[in-house]
Amino acid sequence: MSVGILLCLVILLPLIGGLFVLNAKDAVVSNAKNARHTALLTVFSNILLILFLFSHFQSAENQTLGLIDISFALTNKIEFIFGADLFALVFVFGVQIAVFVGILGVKKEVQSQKGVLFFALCYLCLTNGYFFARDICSFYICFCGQLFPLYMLICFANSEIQNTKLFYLFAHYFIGAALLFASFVLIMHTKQGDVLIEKISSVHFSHQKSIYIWGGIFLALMLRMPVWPFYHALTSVSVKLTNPLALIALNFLPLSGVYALTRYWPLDIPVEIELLSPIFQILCIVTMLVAAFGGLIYSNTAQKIHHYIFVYDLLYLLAVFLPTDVIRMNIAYSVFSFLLMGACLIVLQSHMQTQSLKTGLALKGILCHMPKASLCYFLFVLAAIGLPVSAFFWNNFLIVSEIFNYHLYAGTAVIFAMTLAAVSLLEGAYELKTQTCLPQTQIKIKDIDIFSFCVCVLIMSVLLVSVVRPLWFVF
Amino acid sequence: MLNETVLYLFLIGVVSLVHTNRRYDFLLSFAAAVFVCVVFGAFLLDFKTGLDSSYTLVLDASQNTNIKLDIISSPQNYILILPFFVMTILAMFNNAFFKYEPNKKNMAACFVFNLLSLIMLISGHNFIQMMTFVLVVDILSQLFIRDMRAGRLCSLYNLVSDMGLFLVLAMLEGKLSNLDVGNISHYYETGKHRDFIMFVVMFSLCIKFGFFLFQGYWLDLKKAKFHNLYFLPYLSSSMAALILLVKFYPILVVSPSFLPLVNWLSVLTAVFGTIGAVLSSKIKEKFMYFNMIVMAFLVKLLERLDFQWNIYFSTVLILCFILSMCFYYFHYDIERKQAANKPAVFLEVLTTIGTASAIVLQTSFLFSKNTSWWILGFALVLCFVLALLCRQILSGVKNVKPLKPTDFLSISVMLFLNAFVLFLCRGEAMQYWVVLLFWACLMFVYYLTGFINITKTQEFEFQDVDFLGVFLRKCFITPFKKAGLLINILTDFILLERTFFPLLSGANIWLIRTYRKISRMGLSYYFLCMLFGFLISFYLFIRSKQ
Amino acid sequence: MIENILYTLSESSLIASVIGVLMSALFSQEGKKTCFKIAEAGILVSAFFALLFYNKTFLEGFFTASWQTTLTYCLCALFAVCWLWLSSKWFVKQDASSTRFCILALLLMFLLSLIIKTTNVLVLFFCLALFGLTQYALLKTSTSSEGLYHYAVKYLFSALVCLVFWGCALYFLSTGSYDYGTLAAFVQTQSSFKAAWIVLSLFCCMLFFIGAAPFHFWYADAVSASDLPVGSYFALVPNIAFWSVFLSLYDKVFMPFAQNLKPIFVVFGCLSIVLGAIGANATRFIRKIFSFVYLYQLGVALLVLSTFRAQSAFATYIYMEVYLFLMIGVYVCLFGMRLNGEHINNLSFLKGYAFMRPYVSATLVFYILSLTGLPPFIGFISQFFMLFNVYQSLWLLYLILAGFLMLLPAYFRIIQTIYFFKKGYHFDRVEFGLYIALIVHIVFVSVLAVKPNFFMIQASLF
Repeated sequence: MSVGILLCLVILLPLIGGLFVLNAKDAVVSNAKNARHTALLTVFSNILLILFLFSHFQSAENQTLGLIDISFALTNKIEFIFGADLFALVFVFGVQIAVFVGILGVKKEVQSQKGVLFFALCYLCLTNGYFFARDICSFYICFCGQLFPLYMLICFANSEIQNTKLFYLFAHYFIGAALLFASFVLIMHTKQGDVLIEKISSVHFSHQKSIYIWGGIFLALMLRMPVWPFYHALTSVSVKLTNPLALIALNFLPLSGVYALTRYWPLDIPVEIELLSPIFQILCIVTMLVAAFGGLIYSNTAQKIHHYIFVYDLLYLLAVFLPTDVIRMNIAYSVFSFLLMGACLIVLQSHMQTQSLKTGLALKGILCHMPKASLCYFLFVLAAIGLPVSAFFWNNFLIVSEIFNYHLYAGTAVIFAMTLAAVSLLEGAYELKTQTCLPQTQIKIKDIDIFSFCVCVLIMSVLLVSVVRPLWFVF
Repeated sequence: MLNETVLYLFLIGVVSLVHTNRRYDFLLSFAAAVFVCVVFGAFLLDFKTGLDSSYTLVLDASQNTNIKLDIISSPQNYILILPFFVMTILAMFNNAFFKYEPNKKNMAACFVFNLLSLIMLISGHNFIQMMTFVLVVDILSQLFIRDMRAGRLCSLYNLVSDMGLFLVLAMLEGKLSNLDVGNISHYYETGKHRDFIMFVVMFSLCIKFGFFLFQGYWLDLKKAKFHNLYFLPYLSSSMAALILLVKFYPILVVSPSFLPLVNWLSVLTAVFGTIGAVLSSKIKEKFMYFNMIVMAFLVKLLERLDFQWNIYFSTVLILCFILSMCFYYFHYDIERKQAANKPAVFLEVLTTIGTASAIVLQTSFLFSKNTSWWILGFALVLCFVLALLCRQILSGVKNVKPLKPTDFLSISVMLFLNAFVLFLCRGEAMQYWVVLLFWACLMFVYYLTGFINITKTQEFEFQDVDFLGVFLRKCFITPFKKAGLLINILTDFILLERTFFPLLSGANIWLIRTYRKISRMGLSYYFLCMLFGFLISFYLFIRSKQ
Repeated sequence: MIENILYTLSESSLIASVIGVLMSALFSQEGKKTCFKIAEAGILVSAFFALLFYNKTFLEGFFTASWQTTLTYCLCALFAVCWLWLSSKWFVKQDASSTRFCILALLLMFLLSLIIKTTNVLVLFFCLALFGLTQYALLKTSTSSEGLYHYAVKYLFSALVCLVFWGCALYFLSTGSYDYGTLAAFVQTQSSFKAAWIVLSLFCCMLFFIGAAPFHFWYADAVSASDLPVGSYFALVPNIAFWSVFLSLYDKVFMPFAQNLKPIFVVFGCLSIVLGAIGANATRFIRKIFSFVYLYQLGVALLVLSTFRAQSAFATYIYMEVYLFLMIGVYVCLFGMRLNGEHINNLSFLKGYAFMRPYVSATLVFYILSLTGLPPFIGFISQFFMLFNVYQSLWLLYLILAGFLMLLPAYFRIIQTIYFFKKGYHFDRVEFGLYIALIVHIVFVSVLAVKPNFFMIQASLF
C-alpha cells in the first residue's frame, strides 16, 4: 500500500467512522454501545495505520514521507499537499491515543452520545489533516475546520453550558482563524499561488506586509494558547465540562498552536515583532504562574488538572520561541507523553466525578473505594509531576535547560510554576485518597471496568518503555 | 565490575516481585537477603582488586545531547556504595525475620531496588541519571512508608526538593551544554549566580536531610509504622542528599556563604533535635529527633573531611544505622509489646551505648591530630541524649514477662550487632581514653538526669505544636495562595469577566436596541435611509471629483 | 423578420405560459398544481430558447445576448423553477389559489429576461418600473399579515422615489445616449452635478433593487413578513439577475468614474456589512436572519468591487451565485419546517427541532456552515476567491473578516436553538419530495466544493 494512500486513510478514516457512528442502530441501550464500539474501532484502526506509517521511516528524522499532492485548480492554482514526518507523526499518534482514551471515558448511557462521538471523530479527522498539512491552504482549512466540530462536541457534551462563556471562547478561535486567513490571502497573492508552509519565510514581502503577515500568523496561533488574557475563556468553559472527550479535545487544542509554531515559525522574523518577543515571554511566564497558583487555590481536582495542563502548554510555548531548533524533537516527545497522561487523568477524574454524583459521596477519599482507578490515577500523577517514569521527564529537562541557556529568571519562574503545578496535582491526588469515615460495606462505588484498566496499564507501559527509547514502537 | 553487580541486583529484585503464595514470603525474602550477601561478596572482591572501568548505555540520541546510563567502577564509588550495601543487607535480614511485616517479599524487592538506585546514583556520570535516581529513591521511600497520612507531607516536600535540584541541573546543562557531572566545576567559569545555585541546592538538600526549618515532613512520618521507618534516614532520600552533596561540592564551595550556612544549619538542627529528643516521650519520636542530630553530625563531619567520603566515614554511617536499629528494637520490645523483656532490654542498652562509643571513637580517630571542639560538642549531646533515653526506658520498664521464643530474636540480633560493631572497630590505634571518657560522661549524665523532671504538660505542648510548620503556612503558603487568589480576581474576574466582556456584550446589546428602535420608525425610517444614501453618495462623489 | 421572432421565443414562451395558466385556471378542473406545472414548463422552455439563441437577440440596439446574459438568465430560470416547485407545495397545503401567483411569477421572469438583456438605460428604466409594480402585486398576494400591506405600499413608494430620481437622470441623458457603452463618455462631458446625478441615480436605484444598504430596508420585510412563497421569491430569484445587470453597468458605466465611486462603494459596503451583522443578531425570525445575511454578502461584494479590478466583477458574480445555490437549500429546509400546518419563521418555535427531524436539521446546518465561509465547504472557496481581490487594501480585508465574525453569533444561535434547546413542540412530517430535493442538492453542492470547474468555465465566459 503506498504511503500516500495510507496518509489519506489516516486523515479520512475518522470521518468515515463518524458516518458509521451516525448510522448506528437506534435501540435505547444498544444505540449507545454500537456507536461507542464503532468509534473505538475507528480510532484503534487509525492507531494501527499510524504504527504502520512509522515503520516506513528509515533513518533521518527530517525525511518527509508520503507527500500527497492533490491539485485543486482554481485560477490561482490551489494545491493541497499533505505529508508526514516524524515530528507530525508523533503528534498525530499522541492525539489518536488521547481520543481513544477519551471515547473509553464517555458514559455508555448518555443519549446524546452519538452526537458527541460523531463530532469527536470529525474533529479528529481535521486534526489529523492539520498535522499532515504542508501547504497553507490545506493548513488553513484544517485549522479553521476544527472549530465547528469542537463547538458541537462541547455543546452536545454539555448543553447547559453558558452561552456567553462559550461565545467568548470561540470568538477567540474565530478571530484567530480570520487573522490567519488574511495572512494566507496576502501570502498567496504575493506568490500568486499556493505555498508550502516551510517556504513562507523564503518569500519576499514588503516590510509592512511582512508585519501584517507574521503578526497575523502569530496572533492566530496565540489565540489558541492559554496566554493571558485569552486563557480565561478556556478556563471558564473547561470547568463546566464533565464529558472527558470534550475536555480532551478542548484542552489539547492549544497543542495545535504549539505544533504550528514549532514547525513553521522562522528564526528570522520582522524586527517589529521581534521587539515584542520579551513582552510576550513575560506574559507567558506570568500566565504560567497565575495558572500554577490557580491550581493551588482550587481544591477541585478537575481544576487542578486543567491548570496543570495550562502550565505545560505555556512551557511548550516558551520553548518554541527560543531561538534554537535543537529541542524540536524533545518538544514532540514531551507532548506525546503529555497527551497520554493528560487524557488518562481527565478520564479518570471524570469517572470519579460521575460516581461521586451518582452515589452522593464527596470526592475526598473516593479513591479508597476504587483500587484500579487509584492505581492508575497515582501512576499517571507520578508521571505527570515529572517523575522519571516516562520520556516526559527527560525531554522536559532538556527543554527547561535550553530556557535557562537564554534567561535565568525565566527558567527559574518556569520551574517555580512547574513545582506549584506538580504540588497541587499531588495534593489533589492525596485528597482523593484520604480515608473517609464511612464503612466499606455502605459504599457502592463502581470502579473503572477491566477494559479501561487494561488500556490505562498499557498506556503506562508505553510511557514506561519510552524512558528507554521514546519511539520504541518504531521498527 | 559494578555493572555486573547492578545486573545481579536487578535480577534479584525482579524475581522477588514474582507473585507467589504468602507462605513462601519468609523463604523468598531470606533467600533474597542471602543472594544480596553473595553479590556483596563479589562486590568486595572487586573492591579489593581496585580496577577502574566504565560502562555506558545510550538510551536516546537526540540532536542536542545523548541520554545515557553510566556505570563507573572506581575505588571512590566502591567506598561510597559499601555502607549502603551493608545497611541494606542488615535491613533485609531484619525484614525477613520480623514477624509483623505482612509483605516481606515485596519489601525485600524494594530494598534491592533502593540499593540499585543508590548505586546508579553514585556511579552515574550525567545529570539526568542523577536526577532520575534521586526521584526513584523518593518513589521507593513512599513504598517503604506505605501510609498515606504519614507519606503525604514527605512526598510533597521531596517533590519541592527535587524540583529545586531539577532547576539547578537544568541550569548547569543549559550553560555547560553538557550533561557530564565531571564538568560541574567548569560552571564557575562559564556561568554566574554561584550564591543562587548554592542556596537552591542547599534548600533542596536540607529538605531531604530534614534539617531545622524543613523538618515538618520528617516529624510527620511518626504516623507510619516504625519497622518501615528505622532504615529510612540511612537508605533513602537523606542518603541521596548526602551523595549529591559530595557530587555538588565543586560548585557549592565557590560561594562564600556555603560553609557558614552549613555550620549554622548543623548547629540549629542539632539543638532542635536535642530538645525534641529530650522532651518527647515516645521512642519513635525520640528516634525522629535523634536522627536530626545524626544528620547534622554527618553533614558537618563530611564538611570537615572536605567532602571526601572515605572508608571511615562509611563506618560511621553504618554505626549510625546500627544505632537506629537499637532504637527500633527498643520500640519493638518496650512500646510495641507493652511488656518488657529484661535481658533483651539490657542487651539493647548495651548495644546502644557500645555503638555510640564506636561512633565517637571513629570520629575521634578521624580527627586524632586536630580534634575539633564541635566533635566534643556532638559527643556531649550524644551522651546527654542517650543517658536520658536510657533513664526513661529503664525507669519505664515495669511489666516483666517470661521469655518467649520470639524474644530470642531481639537477643540474637543485639548480640550480632554488638559483634558487628566490634568487628567494625577492630582497626589500629584504639583510642581507649576516648571511649572511657565517653562512658564516664554517660554515667555522670545518667545520674544527673535522675533529677530532671519533665512534666506531662511540657512534653505535650512541645510535641504537638509544630512552630515551623505554622510559620511556613502563615508566612509562605497562605500568602502565596492569597496572592494567587488576588491575581485571579484582579485579572480574570475584574478585568475580564466584569469589565472587558460586559463592555463587549453591552456594546452589542446597545447596537441591537438602537437598530430595532430605528427600524420601528416605519415610513420615516425608509425615507431617512434613502435620503442618507443619496446625500452621502452625492457628497462623496463631488468631493472626490474635486 | 422571422429570425427576430425566433430570437424572441425565450420571452414569448413566458407570455404563452401566462396565457396557458389563465386558460387552465378558467377551464381546467385540476387546480393549483397545473398552474405551477405550466409556469415551470414555460420557464424551462424559455431558458432552453435562451440557450439555443445564446448570442442572438432581437432589437440589437436595445438588447444584447452573450454567454454572460444567457448564463445569468439560465441561472435565474433554474432558481425560479426551484422556487415554483417549492411554492407549489405551499399552495397545495394551504389550499390557496395559485393563478395570480403563477401569472405574476411568469411576468416577473419576463421582465427579468428583458432587464438582463438590455443595454439601454431607458429600456432598463421602464422594465424596472414595471418590475417594481409587479413585485408590489406579488407582495400583495401574501395573506400572512396586515402589516405586509403597509410594507408593500412602502416598497412601492420607495421604488417610485428611486425611479423618479432616475427619471431626472434620464432627462439629463436625453441630449446624449442611453446606451451603456456610450453613456459614460457622454456623462464625462457633463457638469459635476449632472454627472453625479446621472451616475448616482443609476447606482442608487440598482442598489435599491438589489437590496443593499442604505436602501435595504424593504428587503428584510418583504422576505420575512410575507408568505413563504413570496419571501422565497425575493430571496432566490431576482438577485442574480440584478447583480448581473449591476456588473454590466459597473463594467461599462461606473468603471470610468472609479475614483469618484470608490469611496461610495466602500461606505455602502461597510454599511451593508455592519447593518447585516447587527440585523442578523437583532432578529429572532429565521427568514429575516437570512435576509440580513444576504445584506452582509452584498456588503462584501461591494467592498470587493470598490477595488475596480477586472477580476473583482467575476469574483463577486461567483460569490453571489454560490450564495444563491446555498439559499435554495436553506429554503428547501424552511419549506420542510412546519408546526401545526404553519411554516415556522420564529426561531423560538424551532427549539429541539433536531430531535425530531435530524436530517433536515443536519442539512440546514450544512448550508449554514457553507454560508459562513468556513472551510471545507463551498462558501469558503467563493469567499477566498473574493478576498483574493482585496489584497491591496489590507484594512478592507480585515473589515470583511470582522463582519464575518460579527455574523457568526447569528448562525450559531440558529444551530443552538435547533440542537441544544429542549424539545418543545411536535413538528409536522416533512414531505418525501423535500428529502429527495435535499439529497440531490447536497450532492450537487458537495461536488461543486470538491470540483469547482463549473466556476472555471464561467471565468472563460467572462
